[in-house]
Amino acid sequence: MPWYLRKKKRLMLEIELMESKGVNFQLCQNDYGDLLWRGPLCVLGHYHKDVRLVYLADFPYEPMDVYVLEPSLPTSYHHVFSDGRICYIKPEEWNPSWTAYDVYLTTIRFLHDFYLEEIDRFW
Amino acid sequence: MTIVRKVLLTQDEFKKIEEDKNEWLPKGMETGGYIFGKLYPNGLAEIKHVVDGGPKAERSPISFSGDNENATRVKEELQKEDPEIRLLGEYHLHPWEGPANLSLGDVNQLREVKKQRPWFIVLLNTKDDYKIWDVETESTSGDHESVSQPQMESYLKSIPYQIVKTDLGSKENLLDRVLKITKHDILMKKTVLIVGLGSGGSTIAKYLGCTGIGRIILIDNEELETVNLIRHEGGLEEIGKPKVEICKRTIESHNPFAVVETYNFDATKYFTKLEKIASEVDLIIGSSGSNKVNNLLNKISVEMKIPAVYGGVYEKASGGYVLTVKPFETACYNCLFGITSRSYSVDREAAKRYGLDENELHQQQGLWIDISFPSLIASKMALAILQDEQLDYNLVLYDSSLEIKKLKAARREDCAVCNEERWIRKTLESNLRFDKD
Repeated sequence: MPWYLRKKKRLMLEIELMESKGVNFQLCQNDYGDLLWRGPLCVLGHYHKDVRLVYLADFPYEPMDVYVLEPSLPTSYHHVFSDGRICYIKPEEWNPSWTAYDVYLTTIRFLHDFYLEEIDRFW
Repeated sequence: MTIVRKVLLTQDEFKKIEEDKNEWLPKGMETGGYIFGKLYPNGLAEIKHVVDGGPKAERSPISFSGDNENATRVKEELQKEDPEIRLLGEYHLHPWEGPANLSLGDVNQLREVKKQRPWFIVLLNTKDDYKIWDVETESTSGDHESVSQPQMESYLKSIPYQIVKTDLGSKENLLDRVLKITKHDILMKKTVLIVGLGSGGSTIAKYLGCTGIGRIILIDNEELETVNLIRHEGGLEEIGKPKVEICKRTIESHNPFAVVETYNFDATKYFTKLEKIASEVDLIIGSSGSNKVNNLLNKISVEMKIPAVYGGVYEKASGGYVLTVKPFETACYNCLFGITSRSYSVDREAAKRYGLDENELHQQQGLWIDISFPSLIASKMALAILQDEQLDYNLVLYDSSLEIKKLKAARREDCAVCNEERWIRKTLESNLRFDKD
């Protein structure tokens, strides 16, 4: 059974946090049945039309995947994969109290450092 | 129902099977006999006596029928010396080449026998192969109807076996020097899962294997590499071998009465499989040193209410920790380790604190001596949990200057795992309050 059917209160918390903070992302489902938040992000004047925060099957015990798309970031950087996924956290740093809202904030911070060209220095 | 998980026999008893084989197989005849021994609560079947088919046995190129009356007489005589001896099963030797697989007729016949003797197994030998078989008796519908050819494989179970050079006497003989200081009858029925068999995990596996614990399940997905040699139970000749197999070999070479099961897979990638394996254990040990793996084990431990022990070392093995968890009674893994920074800068800060640069942190330096101390503490605490001993501490901190601190770590009221509802409420409340401010 997917995590969001087993942990309905946790799902409500995820939604409540994203909505109460005014995050302009929509909750949807991909072809694999995973839930994800999807929306645009603009950081330091750089606009990405499609940013996805994906809950994986074992959430909240494993990190969410984050994709920065349209446009995706150049893969010449160590923290960007060819499918647009970014490495925003070391798996060792994840813990189950991370919510989509924390991931959203970390993504903004990641992009901030990326555009200041500090990404490979600090991440 | 008793499930046979492993078969143990001596070279001398195995030789009797070989002699029977050498007598009849060159004549093109099928042959066989009876195996007698003991069955332990951990699923170990110890073959003590191999007895041939008897004077009235009937042999042909395609069939063998043993002398049951003779076998009963032999059994009665053996039981006079040791009442725990029972008929464990039969051996069958086939004069043809190819794999030692049971036929459909064999499977259905064995299923019939197992209605009376659920532990009954069959040792099967051809010219090229040697296997020990068991079959499941329960069908999905719960009755005992015959198995069809397509269903057959799902009912068959190949039983691992260990042949030892010398007669060990009895289990009590082997464990003589720990029997009076351990609760052996309890330990023999326990199952422990160890996830992660590196420097720490391989040590824990060896020491727990020598305590008399009945069944040990090992999970790891790595093979032994040159860099592992100076801090692993595996030696030079085992480079390239899976760590699970090395640890199984180590445990079984010290204590053949332990049932050791191995799974070579990445626990983070096959979570459902991990969950299924863990569902039948009495204690989980997280010795991978990976936060990701430990988070997953903590989920299982808390949701299934299975006690757990986590151990790890700090940078350069300058110290280590061991945490024991009794779900909903003491702190869980997340109560203690879930309070990490939510920022990418955590590594830089940690490095600065330790006077290191970031790269140095990831080189996994550390002497096996320093890794072994917390590993031994973890083994000791695991044993205490399995024997239902009450400890007035659940967290042990060790540093390489030989200082050990025993602490009582309380459950965190806002733990996102073992106090999830309260954490959700608190997170919502604090966020709403923050918004109002």
